[in-house]
Amino acid sequence: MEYLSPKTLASCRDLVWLSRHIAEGVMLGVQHSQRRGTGLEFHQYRGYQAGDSIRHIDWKLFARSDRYYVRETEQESRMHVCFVLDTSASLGQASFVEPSLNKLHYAKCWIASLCWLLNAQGDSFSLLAFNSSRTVYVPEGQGESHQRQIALQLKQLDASDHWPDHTQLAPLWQYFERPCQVVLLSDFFEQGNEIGDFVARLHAAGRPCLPLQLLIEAEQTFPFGGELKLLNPEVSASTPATLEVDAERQRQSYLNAFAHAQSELKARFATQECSLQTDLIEQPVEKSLRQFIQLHGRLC
Amino acid sequence: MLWINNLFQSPQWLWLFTALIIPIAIHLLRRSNPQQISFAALQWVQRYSQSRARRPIVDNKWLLLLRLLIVALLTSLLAQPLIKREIYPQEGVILVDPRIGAGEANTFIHNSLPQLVGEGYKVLWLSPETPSVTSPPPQNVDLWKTLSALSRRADLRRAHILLINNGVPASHQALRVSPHWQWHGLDKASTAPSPVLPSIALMGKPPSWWAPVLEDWQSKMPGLSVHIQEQEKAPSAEQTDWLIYTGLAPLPQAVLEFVTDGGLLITDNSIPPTDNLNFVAVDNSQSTQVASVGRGSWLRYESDWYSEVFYRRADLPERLWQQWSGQDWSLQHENRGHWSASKIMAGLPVEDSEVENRRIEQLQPWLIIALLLLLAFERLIALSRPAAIMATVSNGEADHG
Repeated sequence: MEYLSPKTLASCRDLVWLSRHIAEGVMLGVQHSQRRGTGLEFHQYRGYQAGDSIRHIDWKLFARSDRYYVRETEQESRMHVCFVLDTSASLGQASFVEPSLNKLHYAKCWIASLCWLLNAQGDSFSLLAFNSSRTVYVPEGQGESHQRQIALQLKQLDASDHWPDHTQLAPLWQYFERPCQVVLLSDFFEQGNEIGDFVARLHAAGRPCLPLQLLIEAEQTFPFGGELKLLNPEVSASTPATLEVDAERQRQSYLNAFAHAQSELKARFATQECSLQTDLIEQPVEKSLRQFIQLHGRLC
Repeated sequence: MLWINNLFQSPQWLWLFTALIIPIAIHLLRRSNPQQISFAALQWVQRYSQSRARRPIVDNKWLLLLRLLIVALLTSLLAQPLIKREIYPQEGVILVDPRIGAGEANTFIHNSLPQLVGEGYKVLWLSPETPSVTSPPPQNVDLWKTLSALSRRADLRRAHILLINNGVPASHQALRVSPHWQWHGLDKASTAPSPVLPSIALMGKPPSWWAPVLEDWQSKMPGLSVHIQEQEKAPSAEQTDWLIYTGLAPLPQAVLEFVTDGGLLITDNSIPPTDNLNFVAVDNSQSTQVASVGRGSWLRYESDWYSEVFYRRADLPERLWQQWSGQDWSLQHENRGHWSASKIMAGLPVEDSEVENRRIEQLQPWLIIALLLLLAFERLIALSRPAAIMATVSNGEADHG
């Protein structure tokens, strides 16, 4: 199966279709066997909606009623996965290879696709997306309608502002009171150590998170040349809004500093028994998902 | 501005040097407007201030230098620079009269110029192109003009000239010679006929000066004869070369036919020019003009040749002979080569200061090669530079979700 190119990923406006397409690529060959397990009980019939797989249509009922009904089953949830998405302004960083694709859009596709996979194995999932000015929370649930709700909420997210401070984070802790597996998506570009503190507190509360760092290729290679005026999307007291640099002279020092910061970040997560996965948004989402599932066997 | 003309063949293209400001302007403008990109990982970019004052005036100095060189080379290519090379007189060059055979010349050199044989020498035919004697001898060379031309060649300033000692030197121009030439004469029995003389006819009453002029000519050129032509009957161009017409205007039809068939007609101003003829002045002399009529020529004096102004001069015979024979091209051609070294020692020497001892050479092939190399280098450097990426996407534009 061919991977979706970054351009296709960026240009597709139907997140539900896109995520299902990606998830089916990942689940190729394992999906149906997993669904035929014990504990799969009939829940209800509901009318067919566009986007539903025709495999779920009850054809006998169709023969009797001449209407399409989808058979919904109830499955005992084995796991609750909480997606925590950083929507600070730095997540709006676009790729230089495919300028129409940014980190946030990639994260949305990634989460929506994983929701499909979790839904397929009967797990429940919730979404917590926040920055310093806006918090979006979709409580725990399962099934395709819940999945659609999450996709709808994801669609409305924008990257802006900063990571919330302590006071803004305080009301969010309630969402982690029930046992859950936290998947944290961010670029982990911190001003101080605010994301690290957040992860450490989750870890201390017995909610170890599975981190996924999203980067663009240019952040790893700094492929620029000539005189550049760099604009900081996430201005703070410690980083200037703009910086004029001679890209060629800056490249080596930048690469050294960035590599050092990355190794520090990985080491910090390693102490908390969380392996940090770093992905470039120019890479296919399918590859990232497969790698993530392999890395964290407890997830799927 | 004469020195520019000596340096460049087309100096009018030098204004293109002003195009040098184009690459400079491009580099300055690109420097003043650095590309703006949004970059979230800004915190790892070093924050030392890089003010405009501390930045170099232009970026990519080598690239700019290459581009300036390309523009300069292109301009030079259009202006076509000339380089002058020193030419030194060659010793041991022998210029041989083409009428002498190659073997005969070699025998003469071995017998009479043994000093050259020891040092090594070069034998060339005496002709404007100076080919080697190994090539066939050039035919019918005008030695007089050739010597005058070669006297200005710096490399032939010290040549040995080997000529046949016979014939009568003649030309209406002065002979120019190099004072360093060493003359050698080869006594060879003349097989050539005596110089060809024109057949002259006179139609009408002869002017008073005609008899002494003819007498002078006949003393110098025995055998020269003049036929007195009857008024009614013009000579045929096959038998007569020059026709002096002193009759009345207009020209008889028979005379016009004579000229059209290839003869030379000589008149004074009593015969008005025909409208359709294009007369031009001869030898910058306003008093003589000539027009081409059919295959022949019409030499016409703008003054009255019966007047004293015309004929009261000591050099009248020589002057008339030069003017008339100068218009008879076939006569000149036939008389070519009937003179030799016996009398040409009196030639006017061309001084060393008059000789251009530098040869002008063009540099175009080298400039084109240099230009192509520079273009290749420029492209290599320009393309090997990592291109700065312009980020035009704002946060929301890429977010189609």
